[in-house]
Amino acid sequence: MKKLLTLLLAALLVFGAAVCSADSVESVITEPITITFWQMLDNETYDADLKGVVDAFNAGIGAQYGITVDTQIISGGTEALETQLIAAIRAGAGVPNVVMTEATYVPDYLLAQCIVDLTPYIESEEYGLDLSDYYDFFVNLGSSYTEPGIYTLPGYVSGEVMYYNVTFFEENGLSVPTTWDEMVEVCTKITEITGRPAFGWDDPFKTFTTLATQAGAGYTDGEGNILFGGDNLQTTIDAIQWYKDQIDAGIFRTAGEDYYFSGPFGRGDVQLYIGSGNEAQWIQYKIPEGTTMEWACAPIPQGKEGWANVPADYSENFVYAIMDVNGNEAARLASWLFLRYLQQPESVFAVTTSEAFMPYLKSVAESEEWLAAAGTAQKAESAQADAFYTYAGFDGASALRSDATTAIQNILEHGADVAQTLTDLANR
Amino acid sequence: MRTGEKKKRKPRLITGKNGELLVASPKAWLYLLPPLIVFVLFVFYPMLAVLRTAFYEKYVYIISKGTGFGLASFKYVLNDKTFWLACKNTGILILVALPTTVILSLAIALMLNSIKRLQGFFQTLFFTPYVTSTVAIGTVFYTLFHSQHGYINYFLGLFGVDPVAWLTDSSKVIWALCIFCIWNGLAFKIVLFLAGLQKIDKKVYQAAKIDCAKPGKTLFRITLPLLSPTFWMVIIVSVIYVARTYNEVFALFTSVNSQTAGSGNCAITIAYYIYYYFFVRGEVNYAAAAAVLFLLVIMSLTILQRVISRKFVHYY
Amino acid sequence: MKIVLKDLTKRFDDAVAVDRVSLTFEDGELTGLLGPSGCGKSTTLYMLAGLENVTEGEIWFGEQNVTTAMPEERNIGLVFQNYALYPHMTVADNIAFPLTNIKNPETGKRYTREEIREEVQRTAKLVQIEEYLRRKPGQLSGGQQQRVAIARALVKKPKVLLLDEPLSNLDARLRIEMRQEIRRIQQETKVTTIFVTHDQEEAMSITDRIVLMKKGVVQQIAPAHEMYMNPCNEFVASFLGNPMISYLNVRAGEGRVALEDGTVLPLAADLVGSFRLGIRPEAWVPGDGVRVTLTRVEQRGQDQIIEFALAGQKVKAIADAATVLRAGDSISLSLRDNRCYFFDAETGARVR
Repeated sequence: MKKLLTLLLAALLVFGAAVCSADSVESVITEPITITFWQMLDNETYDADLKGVVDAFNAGIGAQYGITVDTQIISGGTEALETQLIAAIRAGAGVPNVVMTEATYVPDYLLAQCIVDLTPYIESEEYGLDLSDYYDFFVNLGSSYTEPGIYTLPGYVSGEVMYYNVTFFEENGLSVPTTWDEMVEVCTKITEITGRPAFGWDDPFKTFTTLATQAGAGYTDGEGNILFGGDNLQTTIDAIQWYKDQIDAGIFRTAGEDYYFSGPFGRGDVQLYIGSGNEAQWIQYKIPEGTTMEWACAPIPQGKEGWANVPADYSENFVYAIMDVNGNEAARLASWLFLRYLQQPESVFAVTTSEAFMPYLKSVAESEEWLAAAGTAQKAESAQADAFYTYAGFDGASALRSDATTAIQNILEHGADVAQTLTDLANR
Repeated sequence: MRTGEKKKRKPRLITGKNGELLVASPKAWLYLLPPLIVFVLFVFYPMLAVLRTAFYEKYVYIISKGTGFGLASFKYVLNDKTFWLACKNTGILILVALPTTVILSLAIALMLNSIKRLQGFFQTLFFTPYVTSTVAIGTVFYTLFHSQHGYINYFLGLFGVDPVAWLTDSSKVIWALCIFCIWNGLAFKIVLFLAGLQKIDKKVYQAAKIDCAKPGKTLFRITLPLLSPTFWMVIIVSVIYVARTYNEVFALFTSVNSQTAGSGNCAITIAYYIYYYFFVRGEVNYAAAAAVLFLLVIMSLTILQRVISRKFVHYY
Repeated sequence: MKIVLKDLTKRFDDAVAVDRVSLTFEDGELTGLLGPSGCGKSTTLYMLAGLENVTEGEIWFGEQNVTTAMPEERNIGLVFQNYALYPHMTVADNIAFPLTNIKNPETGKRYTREEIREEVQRTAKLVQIEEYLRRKPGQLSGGQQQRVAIARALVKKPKVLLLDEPLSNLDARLRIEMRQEIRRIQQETKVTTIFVTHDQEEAMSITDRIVLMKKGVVQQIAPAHEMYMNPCNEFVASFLGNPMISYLNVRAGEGRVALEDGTVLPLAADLVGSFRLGIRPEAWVPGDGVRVTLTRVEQRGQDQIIEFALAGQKVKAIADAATVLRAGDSISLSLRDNRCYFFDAETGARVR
C-alpha cells in the first residue's frame, strides 16, 4: 500500500510538473496578444535585418503562443525616440512593450517606474537566459543601474576603432601604432611627409573620457561621482595636457568645422583617426572620384608610458528594455519571449553582418561564419570587447556631459588652460 | 401674446464707460469659446507652467515633479558664463546685424521701387530666402564659410586676405552668424518696406520735383519721413525676431555629436541657451528661468520702443 | 511770361494724346484748358510742367526753349488735382519747402530762415490761410488744402502757374468760392496761369481765354463770351452752355427753314441745303412761331427748363418763371436768330 501511494504521488508530481511546465506560458498568455516594438535605426539594411528576425519570431514562437510583434520605426535617432517615449509615459498611454534605448536614459525610466526588471525572467527555468556567453561588459551594463536588478539586455553595440590609410602606410613603410607613444612616433613621421596633422579623434568628449580612463582616473562611476577629480586630478590634467601638446605640435588635430573625420580622412588630409565603428559605411563616399585609397580599422591605441594603462575603449550601446505601466503579466511575458529570441545567437548573427555593429555573444563573435562576413571595423570592435566602457546614467548625467564637452572643446580648440579648466570641471 | 409665437427675450442693455449703449450678450461667450480654449490650453497654460517651473529649485521632467520655491534657478542662470555669452552674442546681433539688415533692405526696397522693368523678377529674387528653409540655407552657408574650401575665403584670398576661420575661431563665429542673419532677414523687410513705399502718393514725388528738390533732399525730407511708420513697425518686429535667433545658430553650428552651438558654445544665443538647457542638459528649471529673464528683457525693449516712436514717428 | 507751343505732340505707343497743338498763352493771362476726359488737356499741362516727355514739337517760355528742360529748371508752380501736399509737414513747412531748394533771386544766395518766414507769411496772407500755418494737411478741409497747394506753388514767384483740375475734389458751393479765389490771386500776382478743367461753367466764369480740346486737337481758342456766342463747330457749341444746345435736322431754302416733317421754323436764313440747326435754350421766346406740347418741366427757381419735341427730336428751352408751366401744356414759341447756329450735317463745322 505504501509503495502504491508513493508511486501514485510520484506519478502525480511528474504529471503535474509536466503539465505545469508545458502549459505555464499558455496559462499566462491566454489569448492572442500584440506587442509593440520601437526601434530607431532607420537605415535600409538594419531595418531589413531586424525585420527578418521579427518575422522569424512571429512565424515561429509567436505563432505558437499567439504573440504578434508590431515594429515601429522612429526616425530621428535616440533623442526622438526618447522624446516620444517620455511623452507616452507621461500620458500613461501608447507606451511600447519592447523598446530600443540607451543606458543613460534608464534611470529616468526607473524613476517613472515603467521599466521591467528582467531578473525573474532570466532566471526562470522554462524560458530563462544563459548569460555566460556574453562578454562581461554587457552583463555588467544591464545590471549596474541605480536600482538593483537587470533592466536591459544588449541590442546593437559598437565601439570606437582607429581608421588608417593602408595605402599610405604601405607606401611609406609605417606600422600601425598600438600605444600612444607609438602613435606620436608614427604621426611625427607622417606630418614630416605630408606637412599636415596626421591624426584626429571625432568626438572630443570621448577623447577626454577614454584618455582619462586609460591614464587610470576614469570619468564617473555608476552613481555619478566624478572619478577624474581629487587624487586623480593631476593624472587627468597630465593626460589631457599631453594630448593638447600634440595638437600644438601640429601632429594631431580636432575635427573643427569638418565635424567628422571621415571627410578629411577620405580626402587624404589625415592618415589616421579614431571614430565610431559605424562610420565605416560612410568612408567610401568621402573618397574623391578618381582616387583609390585602401583603408582598414585597428583597435585604438592603449596605454602610454607613465599611465596606469587601464584598457578602455568607448562602446556605444543600444539596449533593449521591456516597458509596462499596467502590471500586465501577459504583455510582459510575451515581450520577454520576444526579447529572449532577439538574444539568440542566430538572431545576433543576423543583425551584425551588415557593416557596423558587433555581436555581444562570444560564440558568434568567434565563429567562422561571422568572421568571414564581418567588415574590418566590426572585427576591430570585437577585438576590443574586453576594454569596453560606456556612460552611466544618473541624475545630472546630461548636465555633466555637456559641461565636460564644452570644457574639452575650450581646451582643445580655444586655448583654455588645461589645469584650470579641468579643476573647475571637477569641482562644479 | 398669442400661442405659437416665439417668446423673445428683451436684450439686456448696459451703459458703457463712455456713456454709449451696449448690449450684454451671454451668447458672445459661446462664440468666443473655441479660440479661447485653444488659447488657454496652448498659450496661457504653458506660459504659467514655465513661470512656475522657473521658481522651482529642482525639477525632474519625466515625472513632472518639482521641489522648492525660490530664486535658485535665476541665481544659477545669472551666474552662468554661458548665459552672458548668449546675451553678448544676441546683443551683437541686435546692435550690429539688425541695423545693417534694415538699412540694406531699405536701400534694396528703394531700388526696387524705382525700376520700371523687371520689377516682378527682382521681387521674386529678393523674396526667395524667406520661403527657403533656414536649415537648407545653413547648409549652403556652411560650405561657403569653410576655412579651407569655402568661397568666402577664396574670394577674400583674391584680395590677399588670409583665410579666416569663420566657424571655429571663437572671435569670428559671431561675424559668420551676423552675415547669415543679415542675408536671411533681408527678404521680409524688403517686402514690408516696399509696401510702405507704395503707399506713398506718387504725386508727392512730382510735387517735390516741381519744388526743385534734388533727389537726395527728396529721399531724406520726403520719402523717409513718410516711410517712418513702416520703418518703426519693421524695427519693432525685427528686434523681437532677431532676439529669438535660434534657427540660424542650429543650421550653421550644431553638430550631432555635441549639440553645442559651435565649439565650446561660442555661437550660442539666448533662444539656443534655453533650448540647450532643456533638451540637451535636461535642466528644465534653468531653461525656464532663462526664458523668464528673456521675457523681461524683451518687454522692456518693446516699451522703450513705444516711447521713442511717439517722438520720432510721423503719423499722418 | 509768354508761353508758346509749336506743334506739340504726345504719343503713347500707338495712341496720340496730343496732336500737333500750337498755342500762345499771353503773359499775365488766366487761360482755361477745357475739354472732356481724354482730350489731352492734362497731358499738355504735364508737358508744360516737364513731368511728361514731349514726343514732337517745342515749348517756349519767353525766349527760352524749355522742351527738354527738367521741371526744376522751368521755374513753374503746379497745383495737383489732389493737392499732393506733404502730409508729414505743417502748412508752413509745406509752403516753405520750395524755398529751401532754390536760391533767392534777389540775393543770389540761399534763403535765410528769416527770409523764408517772411515769404511764407506773405503767401499765406495772399491765399488767406495764415491761421492754419501750424496745422498738418490732414487737419485741413478740402478748400484749405487747396489754398495751401496754391501758396506752395506761388511762394517761389514762378513765371507760370499751372493748375490740374484744382476744383474737382471740392463740393459745389466751395467750388464756386474757390474759383473766385483763384481768379483774385491771379489778378493780384499777375502770373501767367493755365488752368485745366472739364467743367465749362468754371472755365467760362474766371478765364481770360479758353482753349477747347477734343481728342488731342484744339477746337477753338477764344474768350468765354465769344466762344459761347460764336462756336466754330458743333462740338464747341455743345460743350458750352447749360442746359445744352438742342439740335434739329432742317432743310433750308428760299429764305425759309423747315423741319423734316415740313414744319416751318420762325427763323430767317438765306442758306440752301440740309443742315443741323443748333438752338440755344434761351433762344426760345413766347410768340407766334410753332405750337408745342411740353413733355417735361423742371423748376429752377429763377426760371424753368421745358422740354418738347419737334419732328421727333427733343428740344430743351428756358422759360421765364413768371407763369408756372406743367407737362402737357401747349404753348406758342418763337426764335431769336442770334442764338441759332447752322452746322454742316456731316462735318459739324459752323456754316452760319
